[in-house]
Amino acid sequence: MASSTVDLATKDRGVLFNPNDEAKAAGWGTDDPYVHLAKLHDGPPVVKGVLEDLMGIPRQYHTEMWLGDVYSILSFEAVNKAFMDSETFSNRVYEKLSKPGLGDTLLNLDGGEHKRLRNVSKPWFKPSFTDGWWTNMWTISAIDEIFDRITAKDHADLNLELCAPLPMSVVSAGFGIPASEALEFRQALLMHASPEEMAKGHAFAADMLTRLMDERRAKPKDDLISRFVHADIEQADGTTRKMTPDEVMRYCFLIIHAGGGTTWRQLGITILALMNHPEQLEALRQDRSLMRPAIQEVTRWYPTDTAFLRYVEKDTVLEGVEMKAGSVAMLCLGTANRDRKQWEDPDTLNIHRPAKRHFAFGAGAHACLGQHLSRQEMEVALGALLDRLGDLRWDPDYPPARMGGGTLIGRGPEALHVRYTPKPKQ
Amino acid sequence: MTGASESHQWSCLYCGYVYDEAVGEALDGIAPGTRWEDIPDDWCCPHCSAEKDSFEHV
Repeated sequence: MASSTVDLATKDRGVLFNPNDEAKAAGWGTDDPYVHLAKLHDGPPVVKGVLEDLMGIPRQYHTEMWLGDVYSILSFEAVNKAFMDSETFSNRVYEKLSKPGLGDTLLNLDGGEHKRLRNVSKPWFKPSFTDGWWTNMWTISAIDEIFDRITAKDHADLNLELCAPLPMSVVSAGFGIPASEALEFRQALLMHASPEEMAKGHAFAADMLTRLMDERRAKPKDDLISRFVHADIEQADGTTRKMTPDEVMRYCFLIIHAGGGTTWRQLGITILALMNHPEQLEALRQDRSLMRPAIQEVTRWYPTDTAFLRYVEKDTVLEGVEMKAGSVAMLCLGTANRDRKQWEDPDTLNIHRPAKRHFAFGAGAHACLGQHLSRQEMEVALGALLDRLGDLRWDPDYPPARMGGGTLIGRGPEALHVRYTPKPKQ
Repeated sequence: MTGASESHQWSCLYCGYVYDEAVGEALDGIAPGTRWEDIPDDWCCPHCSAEKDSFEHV
């Protein structure tokens, strides 16, 4: 039977699956953000200034390219207001961040155009569909295959052998990209040392998707590419039409790009956090009803991205601070998710906290489309980890695992070397 | 239908979207005054697609 998952080798670790190498390639510092953010909690909720400057770290977001003022949005309430008011705080920043590489996508569009485009795929990412179709068709089989490989021995790097291949395999398979081509597709989309290489990589990925779209138009399968090529998109005047091949292509690029990276890093953070809090890992092992609260808590405590940007569309006042149109707002998840007014002892990981909303997956009109799929993948992965890896512990032959990645972008562990007693699937 | 004085709001646990019974949700064809319990069970959050059981009364 053909493999449905990507089996990564150590040679694949590099920029693709090592957050530190990824950060270094982008020229970012890799300091832990929370050391630098601690001093901002007692200050005002909104501050005129670049977040990295307030933190005292090298800049990662080149906010100077927008030419306007820059504001750091720090408190839960202020970040919430900015996320929820997309007419004032728009995603136009992504015209410079993502559009050059991915074209017009959900990331950089706003208003009705964004909503109509998002409505196309909304049914395929709602919780009942992710709990049903995604999990039953793709996630469980991928997890079984991955854990069959892991339990054939008594040690593993869970970053490379579980966290990285799982979302890449699930998202690729769900779209209809064969596992044998998934890694090549991801490399083509992401690994670019120059603009020429990016153009070459995107051309390769576009050729692959064009082939798959042609095949699915002729003979649909139960996958997302088939759904996309036959989907209707609503127009501003209320009429509908089919998506163009270019629209489908850009949608696929974005989701495959986002779906592989974020869940990889966040699952790694979750495993690292729970293994460093063994009493909470044990509580979860004993009571699986804690699974959803545990994931909600780890994503609050340590989201893979520490800050999101928004463009200030019109003169406004936020928490008493005047902002001019054309400014950039840096919404700091790292401080908002640890706001002292919202959570008791917020720097402490506590999976027993009552469920409460936070911003790990954004909020408002641009809240992460794939967040329910991401949570579901992490739930299935953690369940298998608890069921099939007995006596799970850090591998003493390696240095202690720690968080890495860019300080504000793409946090995650570079390796998770563990030892265990393998157990068969029940 | 309900009067404004009895209107209730429900907030999505995942993205913060607030459904206000007094306002409805025009883009989904839900008229102002539509009670939460009268919204179809398969309706989902206009922002993040969470379903009705992921909303809390606020």
